[in-house]
Amino acid sequence: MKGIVFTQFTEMVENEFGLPMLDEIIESSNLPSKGIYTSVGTYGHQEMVIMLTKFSELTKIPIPEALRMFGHRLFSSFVNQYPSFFDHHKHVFSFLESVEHHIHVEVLKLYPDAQLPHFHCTQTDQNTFLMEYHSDKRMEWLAVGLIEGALKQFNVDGEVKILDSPDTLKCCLIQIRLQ
Amino acid sequence: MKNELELLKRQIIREREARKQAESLLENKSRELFESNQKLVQLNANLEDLVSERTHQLEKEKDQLKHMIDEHPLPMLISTGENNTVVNANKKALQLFNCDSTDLIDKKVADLFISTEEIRLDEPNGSFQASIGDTKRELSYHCSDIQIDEIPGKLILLEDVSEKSEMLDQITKKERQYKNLVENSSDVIFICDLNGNFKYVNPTGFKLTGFDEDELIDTHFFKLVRQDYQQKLRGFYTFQFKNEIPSTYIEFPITCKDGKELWLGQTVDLNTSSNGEIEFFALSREISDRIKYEKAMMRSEEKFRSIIENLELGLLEVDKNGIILKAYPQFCKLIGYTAEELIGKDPLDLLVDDESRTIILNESKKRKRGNSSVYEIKLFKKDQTPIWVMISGAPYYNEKNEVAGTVGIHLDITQRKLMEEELKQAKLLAENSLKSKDLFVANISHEIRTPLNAILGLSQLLEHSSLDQKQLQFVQAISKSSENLLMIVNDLLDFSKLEAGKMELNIGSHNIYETITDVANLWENQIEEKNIHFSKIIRIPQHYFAYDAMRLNGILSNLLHNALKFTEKGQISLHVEMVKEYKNKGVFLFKIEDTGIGISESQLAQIFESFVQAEPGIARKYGGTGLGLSISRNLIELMGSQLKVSSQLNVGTTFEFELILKKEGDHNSDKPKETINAELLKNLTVLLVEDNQFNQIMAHSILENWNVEVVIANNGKEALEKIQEKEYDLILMDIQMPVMDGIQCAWKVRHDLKSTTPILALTANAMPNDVKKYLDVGMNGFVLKPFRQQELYVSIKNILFPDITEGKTLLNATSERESVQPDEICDLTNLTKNCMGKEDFIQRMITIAIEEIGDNIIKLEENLIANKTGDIKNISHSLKPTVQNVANTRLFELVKSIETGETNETWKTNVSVLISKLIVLKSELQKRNN
Repeated sequence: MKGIVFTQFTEMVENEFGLPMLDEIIESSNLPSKGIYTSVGTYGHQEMVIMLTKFSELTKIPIPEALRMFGHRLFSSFVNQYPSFFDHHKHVFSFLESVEHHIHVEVLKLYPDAQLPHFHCTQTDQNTFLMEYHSDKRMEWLAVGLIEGALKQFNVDGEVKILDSPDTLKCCLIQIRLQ
Repeated sequence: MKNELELLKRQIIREREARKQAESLLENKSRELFESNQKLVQLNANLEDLVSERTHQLEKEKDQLKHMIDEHPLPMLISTGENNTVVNANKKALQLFNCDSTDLIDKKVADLFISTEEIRLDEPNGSFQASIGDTKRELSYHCSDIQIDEIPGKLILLEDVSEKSEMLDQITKKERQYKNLVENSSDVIFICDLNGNFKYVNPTGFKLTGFDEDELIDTHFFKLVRQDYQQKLRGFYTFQFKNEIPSTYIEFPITCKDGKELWLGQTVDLNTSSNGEIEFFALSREISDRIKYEKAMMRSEEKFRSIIENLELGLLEVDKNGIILKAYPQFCKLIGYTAEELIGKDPLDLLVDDESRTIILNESKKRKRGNSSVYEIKLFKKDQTPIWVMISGAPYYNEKNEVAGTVGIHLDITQRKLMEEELKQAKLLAENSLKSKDLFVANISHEIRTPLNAILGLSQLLEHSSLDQKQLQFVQAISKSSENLLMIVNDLLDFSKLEAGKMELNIGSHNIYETITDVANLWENQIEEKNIHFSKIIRIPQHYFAYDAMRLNGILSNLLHNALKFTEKGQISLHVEMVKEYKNKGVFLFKIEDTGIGISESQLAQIFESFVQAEPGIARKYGGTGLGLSISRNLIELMGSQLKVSSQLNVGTTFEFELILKKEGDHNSDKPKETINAELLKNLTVLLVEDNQFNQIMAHSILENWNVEVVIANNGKEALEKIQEKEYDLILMDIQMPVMDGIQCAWKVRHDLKSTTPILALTANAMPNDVKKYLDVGMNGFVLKPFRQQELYVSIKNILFPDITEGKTLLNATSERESVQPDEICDLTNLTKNCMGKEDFIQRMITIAIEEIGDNIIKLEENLIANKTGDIKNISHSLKPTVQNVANTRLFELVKSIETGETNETWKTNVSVLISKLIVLKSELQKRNN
């Protein structure tokens, strides 16, 4: 998992919940990286799971909610850092469609070792967009957070929900419906 | 607070670590980026190369395509559009239309031709007639659809078939020619179908076989083939057909219509006929003559092979490396190996020893040069018994005319070799016995001469004693008889010399008148004693001529002797006349005529044969050796003339011959006989070494007469003892003696006793080789036995007092009767030349030379006794200029050889010889100056 996810996460925890919280999560989690993250590095996905679990334990925020929250934040950081990915999209759906075929392709160019989820997108009607999420890491709630960030970015109101998320599968279906 | 501080610290540490991590990652990334960039640059460059290469290739392909179209042998047009507008045309097309490409491009294809019909070119293939320009042509075309820049088009191939039809005409013409060839061929040409039935036969075939067309066509080929060959041919051609062999050749006999048998050599090709059927195409030539010759040759080969085999000649073929290729049965029999054991082997490893190997290697070198030869060597059979073979080896050649190997014919000559060996032994034996014959003659002559010596000598002594007239006559008769006997012995010796071709004439300067009258006087008494009249006609001048007086005397004596022997009454005449005279020559006729028993015509031819007398009975009646005439005739031939005889039985015989003799000046080389001056030899001490008592007495008496003191030694050993006891002035040395012979003794005197006492050989052997032997061991001269007082005197005087006599040299003083030539040592040619002929100067020089030679004689003698070889060499050196000026070259050579020669015994002898010669030279010079 790319380092930006970790730095954004630790930053979020520090900003929203204070340094002691972050310190506690790191100190008590016995992480292989010892909580030292840089955005350009790559770290085990398990570390994120451990930290999330700890965060949820300490803050009493359920993990899906925590991931959604984190997704919002992560997206705005993406917007800050990589504005070019967003600029020329006029519609949020067009942007979402480009995640799989453009953004992820570019990410892989920079970080060939990155493990990215796959999306299969279908626009069912003018306001409805379906994204099939494929990942063995099952962080679909992070995706939901990110997509919500995107809606906000493109100034549209809409509802993002996970339609079907069977535990046994490595994919789920995310529906975006605009208002 | 503390907690917060630690918290912050930890946070800071994490941040710092994260930064470091990020930096390191960035650093790696930037390095990777740099490398990627480099690769990219490289890739870019490669890409550019690749692009340029591909471009080049594409252009090349384009060129090739253009070339292919341009150079296509048929006219080619490329058109597009529904109207078939020309966009491209190749060279042939331009040629066909005889125009530039600009004239063709953008025109409709159909418009290119002038034709009554519409040219559509719709079908893929077709043909049409059209004019191009003024020429009418027949054209065929081939169309294919193509895409040119995604526009549909056509590729049109045109072919001018008008030329083709012309060609067809030509082919027909050619075919006619071929037909002519076939019809007129001297070979039989025919075609058969697969069943063997004639489909075509050319006229030659009919002519040769005598059958006509109706009889042959569609009948079977075997109709012609001789019965016993039919099966063979069937198999042969079935095989050819089944194995699809394109061409075969076979020879077989056929029977003609008239029953005559011919041989054909037949080549058969498998042919596909115009209707696609396979047929036999045959070409047959009559080869009856060749077959006849081949058979004859085979028979002849067979014949020779059987001859060779029957001759028991072993044939062996080897390749050029000498490896056996073939061994014929007879060779195997000869050598004891089987052919299998021999083939592939080298005869050098198997059959020979080192000696034979060398010979064979030499011979094979000849063979490689293409030479054949015959030689004999020893081979070893399988059981290692040696056999001798004569090998006739000849190279044989391959088709390139290179030597491919050798055929050797071996003849067993073991038996012959054995016989040769036996013959060799027999020859050796015969030669040995011949040698013993010579030895026998030599010994006999010695044995006879020794007592004769005594008789002659003693009768001479007797002559000088006080005798009355009658006694003196008797003694003289004894003397004469002895001399006659000596003549017979000399005859025998002469004969063996003549037989051996060793007779040499001793040509000297003699008064011819004296020689002839001496002979006449000698025989006059004897003839008249027999109451036969002796008529002498001697018409010759008192003049000196060059001839061998002794031999001439001998010839005349022999002929007179014969006349006397065979004449009982009547007369014997001696007629000698100078019939012609030239400025420096005289021609003499010698004629002896008798009135004796004569010789019959049939016997006349034989009388000159050795040991032959006219009739077997003659020997009994008249005696004689039968050698006389043979010797006389041979001697006359040696003198360059011929003895002629004419005779009539019971009437008489005439012998005659002519001699051409060279005139000599009135000089005195036929010296007046020296009178014996006994005073000179008085009181000398002489050691006489002689085993024969008669000889001892004779020599002793002669010497005593001269007041010489004589000591006798019976052999060489005694002589050596006596020489050590006392000093002698002279040693007279017999050669053949018991205990120690003269040669051995003389050698010991010079070598062991180091004595220089002069030694005079007394010998019956005076062949030049013998004389050389005497001088080689250090003797100073020789007297030939039997000798007269006179001869002994001269020989002794010449050795001891050479100065006193004149003209006679030490070495040849006694050799008047033999072939050692008298020769003056003195030779003033060089001196005269150097003095330019001025006599007073020459005389002065000679005086100086005499003094110098005299001094050096003494010095040489002293040094020889003291054995001072170095001094002798120095003296020789100083003598050289004088000797060169006043003596002959032989003496000069002698001096030179002494100066430079190795100081051995021969050298010492040479020094003695030099001393003697110098003495003679001195006396010759003295005589010259007086």
